[in-house]
Amino acid sequence: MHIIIVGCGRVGAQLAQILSSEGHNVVIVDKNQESFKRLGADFNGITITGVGFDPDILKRAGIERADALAAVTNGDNSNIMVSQIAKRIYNVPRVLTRIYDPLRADIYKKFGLNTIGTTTLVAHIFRSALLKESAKHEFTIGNDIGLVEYRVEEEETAAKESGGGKK
Amino acid sequence: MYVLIVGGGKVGYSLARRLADEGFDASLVEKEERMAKRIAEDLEQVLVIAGDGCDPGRLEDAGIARAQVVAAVTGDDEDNLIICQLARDTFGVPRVIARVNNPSNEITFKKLGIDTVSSTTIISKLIEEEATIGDIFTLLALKRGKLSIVELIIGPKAPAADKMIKELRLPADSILATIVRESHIIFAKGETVLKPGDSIIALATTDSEMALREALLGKE
Repeated sequence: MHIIIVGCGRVGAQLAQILSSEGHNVVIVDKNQESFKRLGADFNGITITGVGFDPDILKRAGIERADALAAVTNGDNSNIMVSQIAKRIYNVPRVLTRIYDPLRADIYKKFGLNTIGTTTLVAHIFRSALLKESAKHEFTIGNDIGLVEYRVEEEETAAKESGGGKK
Repeated sequence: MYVLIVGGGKVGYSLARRLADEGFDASLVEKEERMAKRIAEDLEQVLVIAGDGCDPGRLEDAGIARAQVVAAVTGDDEDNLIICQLARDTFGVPRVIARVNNPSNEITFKKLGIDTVSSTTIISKLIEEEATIGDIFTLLALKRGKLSIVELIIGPKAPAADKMIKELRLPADSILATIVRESHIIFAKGETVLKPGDSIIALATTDSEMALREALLGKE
């Protein structure tokens, strides 16, 4: 798969390393060249320095033939803008958007973006782990993926299992 | 009419002041508290809210639900896009306008259906007009700049001087509408003879403006 990752922070860099090591064609974009140091020496994908929502940069990253794009910069609005360009202008089949602000994550999920509201997600995971609760939580990622968490056994840490697929 | 402005830089500040002077009910949202404070002291008639205009909660505080117009004029294009989308799609604001700082983002806004104003594009268009076609003036641009009403003045040595309109080889995508001759208005017919000093008002597609100029005034 040809996959574009926008944002080479901790998440973006790790995602790029994993996908690249699995044999995917990875192009990673970041406005700060220094960020690419996070990728390490083994990374064999392509790096492009520039603003992720600049159409010229996206074209250089091969957005016209991309199978998927992940927007994981530290700016919610940048991620939303990149994702809309990918989804609505270039019809990239799979687009995922990280959004810190829970409210904006909800709003743009309704508008059809596959948003991952990491703040809410992490808060709920912490809550469960702290309370050692067996309560089940459900998170939705966009409109077609669910993440379900539940306790499997009486252990110290809350076990976590993620289940993908259509709801 | 209630107008909500997001972004308190030079553009936002001037816009708020002008609208308030013209009697509009205007509010302004500015992220930086110090800037917001300064604007609030300066513009008494404008309600200034310190907060992030990309935060839907802040927009609600600013009364976005009753706004007829939202202008997103921050220095960050991604913020302006999101503000306009929130305003239009979440709060149902009838008219939203975004400032575009980087002209290469204009196409994205257009494709996502958000109206934009880009000072860079406006200024460069004005300069282009001045630089390339000196004696053809655009009076009005229509259909997003694809069609224009232009004015040309026939000089004494112009190829069209003392010729009937039907003798001229005018580009297909153009039509001469009226001739202003010593403050008289003449509606152009095939038999009308053009005189030096005539001011011609024509309708032409932007692509055929140069050809129209050549047919009437000759090559530069």
